[in-house]
Amino acid sequence: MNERREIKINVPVLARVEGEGALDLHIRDGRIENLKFSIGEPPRLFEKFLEGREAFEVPDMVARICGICPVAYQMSAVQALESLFGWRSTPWIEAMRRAMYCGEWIQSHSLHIHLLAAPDFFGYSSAPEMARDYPDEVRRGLRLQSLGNELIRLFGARSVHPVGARLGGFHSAPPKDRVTKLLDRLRAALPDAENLVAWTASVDVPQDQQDFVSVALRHPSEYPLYSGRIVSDTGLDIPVDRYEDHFKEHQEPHSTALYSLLEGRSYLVGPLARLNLNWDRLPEPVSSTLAKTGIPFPSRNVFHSMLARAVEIHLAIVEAIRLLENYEPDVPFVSGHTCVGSGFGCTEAPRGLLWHRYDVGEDGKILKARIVPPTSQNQARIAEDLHRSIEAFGLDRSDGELRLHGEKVIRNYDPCISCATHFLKLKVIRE
Amino acid sequence: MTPVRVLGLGSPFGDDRLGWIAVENLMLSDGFRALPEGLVSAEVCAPVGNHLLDAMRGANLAILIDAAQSGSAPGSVRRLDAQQIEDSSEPCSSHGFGLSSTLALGRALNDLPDKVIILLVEIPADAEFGPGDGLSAPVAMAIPGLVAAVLSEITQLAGLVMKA
Repeated sequence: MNERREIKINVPVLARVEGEGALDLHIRDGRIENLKFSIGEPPRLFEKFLEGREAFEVPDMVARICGICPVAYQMSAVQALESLFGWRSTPWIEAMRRAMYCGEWIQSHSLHIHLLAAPDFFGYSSAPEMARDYPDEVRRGLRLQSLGNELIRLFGARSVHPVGARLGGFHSAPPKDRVTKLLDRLRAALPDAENLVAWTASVDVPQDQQDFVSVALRHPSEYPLYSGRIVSDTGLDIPVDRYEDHFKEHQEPHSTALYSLLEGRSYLVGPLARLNLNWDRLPEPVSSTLAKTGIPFPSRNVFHSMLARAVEIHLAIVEAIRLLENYEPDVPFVSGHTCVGSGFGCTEAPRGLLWHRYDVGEDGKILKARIVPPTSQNQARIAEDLHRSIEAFGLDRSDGELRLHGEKVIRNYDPCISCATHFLKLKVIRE
Repeated sequence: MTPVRVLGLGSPFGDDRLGWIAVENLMLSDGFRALPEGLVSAEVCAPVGNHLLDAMRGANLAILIDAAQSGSAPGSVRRLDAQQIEDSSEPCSSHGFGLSSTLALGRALNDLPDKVIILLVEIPADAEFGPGDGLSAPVAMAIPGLVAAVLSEITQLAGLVMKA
């Protein structure tokens, strides 16, 4: 009879990811017999809270789903409702939405690269520890993060749960002098962004080529952010209102977040998937800065996600400058009547595709809401990656090494488990 | 950019709001109004992390006011130097970068004011944090003393004599 050795490693709150997750690993005869990546965060019931609410209340409510990507939730929501109501927003509103969204990408990606992911690749257990040896890099990260926050604040009055966006546009147009000051800061940040791309490309990440499906928005001329069609590298090319025909969510008993599959397969959303599908949409000088790194895209190495984030910070700064350099205040919002029906919205949150559907009743109130966040879409892919990565890393490693490697793999996806429904409890059973 | 910054930390909920209320009371106090212009600014600071480092940058003295649960008597005020609570190993997440790791990060980057003082007010062990909950009686009663303590820190630093 086999003696069953059970080792439990308990990390009550996994550092540097958002939310509560766990990893159960069962190793038998030197092979992974069972691996479960689970999310134990209690359901947050936002979709239910929205039922019976007026459409205009939705942007402020969904912003509360996430403290890091509230703009993404607001933008997918207004897009869904405005498309249903037939409100045509103006080029000014579209441009300012994209500019505000750039702020969210800059702050979220800077936070993840410098404070959450980088310590893993340099062998530190935390950002403050890394900061003692790499102060200039961490300071650069904090500067970029502050800049992103300031851009959100310009339109949203505050950077966490901003209140400036509304159905139809913005409550007010920012004064020109504030935009001019911020433009100076954005231009001054360009060398930081270029250096960041070169730095992340030079980080010694594991060389782990994997087969996975990338899914992202694609726009006829722009790098996707606020709009586009949903495409994959397996030939999918659909408008956002056809999402439900191809993507199915299901419940797994060990997780409170839904799993999402594309035609039965796991898939990747987020910075690496976006860049894999849209590297040809990078404007100058972003594209030549990336080319200088010598790392070709599309990439099959998921650890290139950090580089993809850096590229997107550079892009977001260049885009924000383009969108704001001839800024004049304009009519900040459009309005109209509400109507009955279903509206669909999809934008690129920092962590990937964020799809919303709202069914609205005759009284203009929300009958039903469906929100599919990026982390639940990445959940199946994370589990698959863990399986492959841990096997490649070596199952004879100590529990501590296995846990650290597992955490590194998971953190690389920048999961926001709270959005999807805290982390990492690892249980290893060896037989 | 004033050399002294008072930052009330917390949230809108129950006793966690005390940092915010203390700052509001401070700004309305005679003592605060009597201070020379440009010496002190006070604000509420919702999340910690980079926001807090930004809010303290360039100051000589930062006074942080926050709620705490340590098991001591509700309403009691404890004064700590930042170094007493800096902890670089405290777990942080993408959303919650705690006070101790924020201070540790600021220290590692040489990005903290010369002096950072933290005034912690003990809140009851059974404090409620619902949206409609106000300050509990012992915490509310601690506010005047807290405001006086903040003013005393400021005048000590500035070497000022308070106007009557």
